[in-house]
Amino acid sequence: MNPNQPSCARRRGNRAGFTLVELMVSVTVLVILMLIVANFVSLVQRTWVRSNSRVSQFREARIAFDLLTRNLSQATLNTYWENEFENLGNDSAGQVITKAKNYIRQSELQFVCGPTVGTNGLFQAGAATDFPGHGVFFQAPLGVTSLVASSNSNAADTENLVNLMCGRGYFVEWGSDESFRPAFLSQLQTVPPRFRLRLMEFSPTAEQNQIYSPAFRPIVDNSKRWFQGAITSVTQSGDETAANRAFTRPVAENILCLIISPQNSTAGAGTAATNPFSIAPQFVYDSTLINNPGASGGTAQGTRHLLPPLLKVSMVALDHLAGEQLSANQTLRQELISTVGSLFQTASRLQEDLEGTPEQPGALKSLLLDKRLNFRIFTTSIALKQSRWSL
Amino acid sequence: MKPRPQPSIARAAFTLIETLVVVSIIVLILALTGPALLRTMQANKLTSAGDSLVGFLSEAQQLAVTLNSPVEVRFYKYVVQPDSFESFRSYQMFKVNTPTTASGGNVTFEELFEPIGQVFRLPEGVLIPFEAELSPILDGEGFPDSSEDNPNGYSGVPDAEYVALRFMTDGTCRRVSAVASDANQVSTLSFQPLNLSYFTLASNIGREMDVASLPKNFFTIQIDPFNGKSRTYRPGQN
Repeated sequence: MNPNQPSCARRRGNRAGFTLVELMVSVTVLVILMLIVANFVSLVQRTWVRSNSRVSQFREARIAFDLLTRNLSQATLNTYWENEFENLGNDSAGQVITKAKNYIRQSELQFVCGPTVGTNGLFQAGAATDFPGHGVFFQAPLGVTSLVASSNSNAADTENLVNLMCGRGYFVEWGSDESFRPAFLSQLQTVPPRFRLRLMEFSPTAEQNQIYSPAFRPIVDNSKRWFQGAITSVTQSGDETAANRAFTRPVAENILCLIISPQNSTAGAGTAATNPFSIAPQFVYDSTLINNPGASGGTAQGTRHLLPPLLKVSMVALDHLAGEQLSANQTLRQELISTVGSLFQTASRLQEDLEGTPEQPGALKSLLLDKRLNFRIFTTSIALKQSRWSL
Repeated sequence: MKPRPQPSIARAAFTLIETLVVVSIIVLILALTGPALLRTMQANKLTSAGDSLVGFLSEAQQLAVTLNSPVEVRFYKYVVQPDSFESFRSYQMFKVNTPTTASGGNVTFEELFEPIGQVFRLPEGVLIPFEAELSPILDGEGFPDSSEDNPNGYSGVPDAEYVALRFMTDGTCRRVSAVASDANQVSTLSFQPLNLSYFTLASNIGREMDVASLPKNFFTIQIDPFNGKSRTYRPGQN
C-alpha cells in the first residue's frame, strides 16, 4: 500500500470541500440569477398571454362591430309626404268634410335607440341587470329570407333578393350559452357553461318582419312593439330549421355595453343648431316621437319620421380574462352594470362618462382601469345614408 | 519545488458512483419534464391549428360578401397510414360560380368551382374526428374527390372524400347535403341547428375517437348557420 495514502485521505478531508462562506456566496449568486431569469420569464409569459388574448378576443369584437356599423348605416325609414287633413265638420248627410291643410312626413317604419330598460327603455320587460347599456332597432334592406332550396330541382334562388326589408336590432345581454353550445360538452366536466355578457343580434327574416303586422299599425301608436320578441326569441333548442329559427343570436362575447348617441350633423347644410346633442339629449331617439325625451323646439313635426344624421356608436369590449372574472365575481359584475346604468343618461356628457381625455380618463374607463380589467373601446360615427335632414 | 504526488491526480476525477448518481438525476428530471413538454407542444400545435381554422372560416365568410358569390369550404377526409380510420386532415376554399348560357331560348346553368388558395393541411398529429357527436356538421355522406384532372378541385390525396360548408352572400353558412349531379342543377344546401353546428379538433390518439376517448385537450369550433359567426370551446376556459 502506498504510504502516502493516509496523509492524502487526511488532506482530502481538510481541503476538498467548499467552505461555508464559499457555499453561501455561490448560493446567493445562484439565487440572484434565478430571480432575474424567473422575473424575465414571467414577464415574457404575461406579455404573451395578454397580447394573445387581446388579439384573439378583440378580433371577435372588431368583426361584430364592423357588422353592426355596416348594417346600421343602411337603416332606412322610407319617409314620404302626405296630406294632412283638417276636419270641417259634417255635411247634411252626416259625412265628414275634410280639407287638405298641408303636407306632413309619414313613414311605416321605425328607427329607435336608447337605454334597453327603464322609463324610456326599448324593452317593456327585462331586468336592468341583464341588459346593460343601449340598444338599437331599425329597418334596413338587408335581404334576410327563410326561403331555401328544398332539393336540387326545387331551388329557391334567393341570390338576387338582397334588398328585402328586414328588421334588425343590437343589444347586450347577460346569459349562459347552455342552450346553444355543443351538446357533447355537457358529458364532459372540463367545459362548464359560460355565463357572459354578449352582443346579441335580432335579425328576423323579411317574411317575419313584424312591423308590417296589421296589429301594429299605425306605427306611431304602436311604437317599439314590433321587436319586443327579441328578448324571448333567443336561440334555444336544436329544432331550429331554416323557416323556423330563433331571431336573436349572439355575435360576440364579453361585450360590456353598447352606447349609441344620435347626433345632429354640425356640417349639415340648412341647420342653425350648433349643439349636436339637441336631437337626443338623453340618448333616446324614437322616430315616431315629435320630440325625443329632453328635446324641445324645432318644427311642428320635430324629428318625427326622420333618421338621425349621425350616430356615434361606442362599444366597450372586454378580454377573455375580464369576462371570466365578471362571470365568477357577481359583485364586480353588478357594480359594472349598475355603473353603466347610472352613466350614459345625458348625451352631452358622453365623452366624460366614457373615454375622457388622456389626462382625465372618463368615468367608465377609470373604473375599468381601477378594476384592472383589460378592455378596448370601439368608437365610430356613422352617417346614415338615408337621412334627409331639415329642422 | 516538489512534483505533485500521484494520488492527487487520481483524486480529481469523479468516482463511478458519483457519475451514476448525476446521470440518474438528469434522467429523472428529463423523465419528469419530458411528457409535460410534449403535452405543451401538442397543445400549442392544436391551438395554432384551431386559431388558423377560425381565421380561415371568417375569411371565407367575408370573401363571400366581398365577391358577392357563395364561398365553399371543403374538409377532406381520408386515411393516413399507419392509422386505419378516416378523419378530416385538410381543407380548402372555393368560389362558387353559377354561369348561365343562353342559346335559342334555352337557358342553362351549371355550378363551377374556382379554388381560392391552396389546400391547407392540419399539422402532423392534429385531426378532425369523423364522428357524429364530436363533429355533427361534418357528419354524413362525403362526396368523392379522387380524380386528378377534376376541374372542381383536387385534394392531392387519392380516394379522398370531402364534406362542404357554404358561406352565402347574405352571411349565412349552409351545409352542402347533395352536390349538383348535372347541368341545370344546383347543390342542395341545408341549415344545421346551432347546437349541432360544430366540429372538433383534437390530437390523434391512433384509433377512432368518440366522446369517451376524446383527449383532455380539444378545440371545438361552432359556426352559427344564420350569421356565419364562429366561436370556440376549449377545456379550461371559463
